[in-house]
Formats: sequence, C-alpha cells, structure tokens
Amino acid sequence: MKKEIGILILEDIAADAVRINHELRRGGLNFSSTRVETRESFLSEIEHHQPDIILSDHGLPSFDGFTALDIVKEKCPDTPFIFVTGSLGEEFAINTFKHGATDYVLKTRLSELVPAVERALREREERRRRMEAERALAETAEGRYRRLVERCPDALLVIHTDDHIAYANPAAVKLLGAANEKQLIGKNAGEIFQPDPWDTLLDQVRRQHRQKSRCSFEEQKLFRVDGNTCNAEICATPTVFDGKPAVQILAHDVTDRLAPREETKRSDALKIAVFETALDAIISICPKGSIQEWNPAAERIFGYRHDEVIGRLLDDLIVPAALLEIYREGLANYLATGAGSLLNRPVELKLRRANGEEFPAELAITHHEGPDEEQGCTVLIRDITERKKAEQALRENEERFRMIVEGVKDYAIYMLGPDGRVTTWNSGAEAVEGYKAEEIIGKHISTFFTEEDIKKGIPDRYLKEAETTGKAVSEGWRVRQDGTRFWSHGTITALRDEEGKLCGFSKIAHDMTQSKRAEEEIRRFNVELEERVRKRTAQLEAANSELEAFSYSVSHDLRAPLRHIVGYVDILKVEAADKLDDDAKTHLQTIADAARQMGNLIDALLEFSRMGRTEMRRQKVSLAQLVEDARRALRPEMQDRQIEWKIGPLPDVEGDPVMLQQVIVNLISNALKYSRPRKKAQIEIGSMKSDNKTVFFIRDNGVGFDMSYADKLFGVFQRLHPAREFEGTGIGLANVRRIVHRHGGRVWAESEIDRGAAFYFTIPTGVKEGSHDNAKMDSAG
Amino acid sequence: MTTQKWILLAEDNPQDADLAMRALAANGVHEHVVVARDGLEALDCLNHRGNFKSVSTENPAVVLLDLKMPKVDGLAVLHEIKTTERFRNIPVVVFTSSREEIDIARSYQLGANAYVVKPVDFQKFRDAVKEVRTFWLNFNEPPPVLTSQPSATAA
Repeated sequence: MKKEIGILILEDIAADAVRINHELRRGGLNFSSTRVETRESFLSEIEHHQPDIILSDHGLPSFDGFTALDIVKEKCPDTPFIFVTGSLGEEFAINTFKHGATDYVLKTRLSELVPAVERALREREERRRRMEAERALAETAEGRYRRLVERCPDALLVIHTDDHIAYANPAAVKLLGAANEKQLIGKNAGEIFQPDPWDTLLDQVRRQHRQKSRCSFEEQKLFRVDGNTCNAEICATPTVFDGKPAVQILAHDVTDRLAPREETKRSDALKIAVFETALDAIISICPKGSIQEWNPAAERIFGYRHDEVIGRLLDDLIVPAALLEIYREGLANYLATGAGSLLNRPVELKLRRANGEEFPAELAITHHEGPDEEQGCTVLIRDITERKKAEQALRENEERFRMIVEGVKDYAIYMLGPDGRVTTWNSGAEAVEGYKAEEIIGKHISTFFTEEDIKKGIPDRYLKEAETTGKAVSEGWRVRQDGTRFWSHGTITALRDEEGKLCGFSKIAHDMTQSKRAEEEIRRFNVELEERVRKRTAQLEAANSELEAFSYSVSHDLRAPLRHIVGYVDILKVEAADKLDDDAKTHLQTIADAARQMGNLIDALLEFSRMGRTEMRRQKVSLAQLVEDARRALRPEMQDRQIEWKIGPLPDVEGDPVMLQQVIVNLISNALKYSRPRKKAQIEIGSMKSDNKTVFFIRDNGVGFDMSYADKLFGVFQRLHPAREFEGTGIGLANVRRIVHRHGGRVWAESEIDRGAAFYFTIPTGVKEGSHDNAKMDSAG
Repeated sequence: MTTQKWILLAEDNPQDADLAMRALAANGVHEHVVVARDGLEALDCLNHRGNFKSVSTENPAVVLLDLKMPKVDGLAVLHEIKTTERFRNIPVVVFTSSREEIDIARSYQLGANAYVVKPVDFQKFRDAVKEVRTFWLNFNEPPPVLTSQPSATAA
C-alpha cells in the first residue's frame, strides 16, 4: 500500500477546504489533510508535521499565500506549493511562478487539482533522485583517485629527477617520521635512501622505462627524518609530475615482519569486501577480452550471473551491436600498442543488459601489468540511468519553463547578467521592445532607456535597487528599437546562486502605453472639466450679482421719477384746477395712470426677479389646501359673479409652500379673469396620471387664446389680450413657469379662442431642485 | 423749558424732499422741518455744526431717513445715531423707495424704529407721511430728557 500523503491546506474558507478534500478523495489519493488559516498555525504545522505538499489560497484575512510561499521556500524548499485560488490574472500567474510556486489551480476548475498534486509529488521525487545523482556526480574520478592515494596505507612518494621530493602521501609522512608533508617536500631523496642506493634505483627505473619491463619490489633501508631507520619494500616507476619527469615510489613498511601473512590476509579481505560490495560493476578481462571477474554489482546491472559470464567475451555480452566495430578496433589497438582511448579515463557510453535493454553507463578501464597470466584490464562500470533521467527531467523542466516564457506574448521577459547586459530574450520582449534576440543579447539594459533617464543614471539605479532589496519596480517611458517610445511597467528581480552571489537579473515588463495614455487623457479631461465648471460657476455668480445690483438699483432709482410724475400731476390738478379745461385734466389723469401702471410693472418685475433668487424651502404641501386658500384670497374678484367650481382630488407634493401658493393663485386668478365675460363661469381643478407622473390642471370656459401664440404665454411682459379688456402686468405666468421649473416640473397650456383654456403642470415628488440654475439664468437673459 | 419739536428729513432728492414737505404742510403741520441733502449733512445737523449751527440743541422728535444718499448713506447715518449715546433714543423711520429684503433686514439690524416704502401714488404718499408724523409726534411718548447728565454746553 502506498504511503499516506500529508497535505496542508492554507484556506480561510472552510467550505472551500471541504471541496478540496472532496476532490482529492474523488481522485483516489490516499491522504490526510489539515486546514490552517493563520500564520502561527501554518508555521506550527510545517515544523511539527512536515507536510508532503501544501495547497494555499492567495488572500487570507490575516495572512497571504505569497508570504506562506516565502516561508516554505526558507523552511522546507522541497515541499511542493500549489496555489488554489478563486481568481487568477495573467500577471498573478506569472507572479506565482516567479515566486517559485509549483503550480496553481483555480477553485472554479478543481478537477485539475489531483493531476496537479500528483505531478508535483512526482516532480519532487524526481528532484530527490536528481540530487542524489548529482551528489554522486560530485565524486568525480579525480576525487576518487585523490582519496585512493590519500588513504592508501602504503607510502607514496613522487621524486623529480633532480632528486627533490615533490609529493608525499600521509602514509609516507608517517613512515618517514615527519610531522607533516612540508617537512618532506623539497628534501633531497639521497637523504632518505642514502646516495648510493638512490643512484642505483634511478638507474633501474631508466632501464625499466626503456625495456618496458615491470618493476620489482625490493627491500630497502630508509633513513627517517627523525633520525631512525626503517625497512620498506620499494617499487619505483617512472612518471611525470607537474610536467616534469619524475619517479613514483611506493613503499610498504616491512619493519615489522612478524605478521606479514596477517597483513596480506587483511589486504585480501579488504579487496574482496570492496569487490563484493561496490555499487559499480567491477569486471576483469584478459587481454583477449574474456571475462575473468564479475562482481555482484555487475550481476545486478547487466542481469547475468557470475557463472554465466566467466570466460565469455565481454563485448559479446554488453556492447550494443552499433558500437561493436568501434569497441573491437579500440581493443585491437590497445592490444597492439598498449594505449587505448578508454584507458585511465572515464567515458560515457551505451551498454546492453541481458534483457537487451540499452542503458547509459560510465566506464573506466585500468590496465594491470604483470606476468602474462595476470595481464589484462579491470573495467569499472557505473549505471547512470537515474542520473541521465534526472538530467533529462531537468532539461525538460527548463524546456517547459522556456516554453512558458516564450509563450507569453504580452510580456517582455528577459535576463540580464550581473553587469546589466541582456543574456536571454523571449518573443514577448521582441514584440514589446522591437529588438530581435541576436540584435540585443550582450547589450546593456540602458539601451531601452531614454537619453534623459540615462543621464540621470536611472538604469543603474534600478539595478542597484534590485541588487540591494531583491527587486525594483521600473516604470516609465522606454525606447523601442525603432526609436518610438512606450510606457513600460515592469519588475527587475535579482537572481542569486545558492551562496547568495549575484548571478544576474530577470526582467518582466509590460507595455502599458494604452492605459497610461488613457489615464493621462482622463486626468487632462478632469482638469479641463474642473476649469470649465469653475469658469461657468464664476460666470453664473457674476450674472447673479449683476442681476442683484440691477434689481437693487431698479428698486431704488426707477420708482422715484414715477412718484414725482404722479405727485406733481396731482399737485397741478389741485393748484391749477381753475386754469385747466376738461381735456387738460383728462391728459393729466392719463399721465398719472401711465406712471402708476409703470410702478406696478416695476414691482411685478422685481417680484419675478426675487422669485428666481430666493432659497427654496421644501416640505410636504397639500395642493387641496392651497386651492382652498387661493379661493378665499380671491373672493373679492368673485363678487357678483356666477361661478361653477369642479374640484377633483389633489395629491400632496414636495415643494416650497409659498412659491406653490403663488402658482395656484396665479392660475385661478387667470381663470377667473378670462371667464369674466361668461354669464356662468366654469372652473375645473384636478389631477391625472400620465407617464407615471401626476399632472395638475386648471381649466376654464373663458375667452381662451390662439394656440399659435402659446409659446409667448409664459414670457415676461407677454400679453395676448389688450390691457383695456383684461388688466395685468404680464408677469404672472412667467412667475408660474419659473416656480414650476425650480421644482423640476413642466408647465404648458391648451386652448382655442372662445373655447376656454387649460393650464397643466407637473411637480416631481422627492426630486432635487432640477433647473434652479436655468431658472436663475432666465431672468438674466 | 420747552422748545419746539422738530423733524429731521434726510433726503438727497429735491423732488422727494419737496413732495415730503408739501405732504407735511398739507396736513396742517407747523413743526419745524430741517432738510439734510446727504448723510453728512444729517450728521452735521444732529451735531449742530457746519451749516446747521443755528439748529435747535434738542434732538429731533423723529428722523425721516432716505437710504440711498451720496457721501454717507442712510444706513451709515442710522449706525451712527444708534451707536452714539446721546442720539440713541431718537426715533428713526427709514423712508425709501426700496422694497429689497436686504435693505429692510439691515435697517432693523441697525436699530431702525420703522421702515416705510414711499408709495408711487401721491395720495398714498401723503397719507404715509401724515401717519408717520401723527404717530411719532402726537401719540408716541418720547424718552425722558436726562437732565442730571453733565452737559458740555451747560456753562
């Protein structure tokens, strides 16, 4: 049974966690999950339970996904981290990857969750294997050989042909009684071997080299640096060290010859142990290529048992058919010359298992000399399938990332070296900045900046900021390849290796010219609008104050001369009564009447102007009550007349009671006035619904008016009847219209000559003073 | 000692002044009426200085005050009267063409005792003047004259 997967869910909405759990169960995962929503509980879970995988929401009331991701990257970088979020813009998606999230899944598409979790866990497993492989890789051949030499129980010395010791391993240091190798390096070999034996030894080595014969072990007396002597078996072979000819000496301490067999036995036991337990295949072949040794690792790797292979040709068994020719040529060459391309250095190649499967392997061959029967090679073979897979996975991962980066068309994504020069370039970058990769790679980031910005040192400032704080947000006008400018919004992130050394920067940028332009357009438009409103307000205020000044002076100055005319006409009538004839008296009366009428007009005009300027006091008003009050006030005009009233139900409205009273009085007074010629006046007052509005009306059976003059009806001083028939100032209906307009309503009339007239108006309820300003402007224009 | 009651008419317009004088005369009034033709003259008159040295040392029984006058306007005169200790009690009737709310409000704010709009109709004008005169001179009881107050002109 598979191990249970520990899942940590960072999610503030319990219902979402339930859905996630449901989805995971449905996907057949064997898991246990824990939900947390605060930083504290998240940290505690990570430390005490080491989840296998983390599923995280993005925004939480007291915590957020990116911070959680940062914590995970610090505390347990191996643990996969998947965003499970409600919404995800392109920018957010890029951010999650930039932050190092493993994956993301939308809550609206939870069916993708299980595949994502499985993929993440698989990738984690691959990563682990890859790391193991890499660790193994670090143990390179050189390292292995160095360790071999360092740990070799026998003393190893390298002496240049000028007699100076060039190298001594720890065993040599011990054997020669030195405190450390420095005491030996540079020392003359004659002091250790005594001059005569040393010269003899050198002669032997030269002869040996010429004849290509093998060296033999000889017992020698050595003079230690601490003054003592010791006996050792010496084997000297020519070599090259640091580029100069040298002699390599292997010395086996034989001072204590009491237990020589014991030593041999132990050495043999060690060799066998290594041979048996080595992870690499160790195979010995004779010069003809037939197998002599085949260790358990070789059995495991190739699938052949020891007894199946001994004596058979190695190439028959493990070399793939395609490589057979090359292998045989190499072997033949080696047998003929003693030199082989594979000798003493590891190579990578394909080998074949018993089941025919080919696999990647690393192979090293050592040649061992000796009596004919001992000659041949030892072949070390390492199965590097896993490592190759890891490398492949790494490559695929990189490829996948590259595909993502390449696939993003709207964003320029590129990398910079530590010096700020471009190292990679995606197609988005080409689209945004206009350069092709080959044109820009190697160029400095300042290439994209304007002259002014470069002068101000802005490109370097961004790099510095990214280097010190981790990232820099870069925004401003940039220059494309063709010299045009665009508004770029981007982020520069510093990239560091494991030791924290800066290895470059990544840059993600987006062309925001459109929205920048729109933003500027809006800003400019707003400024213009404000300016226009300000001007208009100032104009209105000026008009209003002029209007007030005008009314004020009318009030003071225009009436005085009329008073004088009337006064002096009166005085003349009294004081010159006996000198005036009847005609003269009539003329004087006409003068006085005209002046008086003008006084009335001025008063009406001032009243009209005041109506436009006074503040409105809104409240609930009963129109029925207003009609009642108006009829009472107009009672003097109803004397000696026959009037039939028809008053329908009237609703309440919102408005200024004083102003509305004036409307009602004016309209009823008109109805009374123009129905005067009728024997029996009929006046109807009521309301009706039309288009969701309440329309009020006052209808009479009076003289009516010609509809072709209807538009003049509500103008100031506009009269459709001669004053000698119907008195009036021509202001009443103008006032009615102004008041109705100030209430946001509409007023109109319908009539036919001699067939009566009907006046209609609407007062919207609960609406603000609609055309207040217009009403004010009426009196100015 | 009783001195004759007198009226101060502050009016810059000669026709209005004439009409007012005629109105007063038509009502058979014989009180002394002093006409000031602007605000400055009105204040000179109250202080017996300039062209008004010969005017009675008593305060006028009532001031009929026009608002729109050259130099110093009616409201300034009203302010001066109502903030000066020895003039404070003089009844001031604002007598003007203006029916403007602002004028009415300012006048009462400054302490005007009455506000009368000059009618255009001469008959009504005459009646208004008559009523004002009758009320302030015949019916209204003026405040007592403070004799205990040391006077600069007493010597």
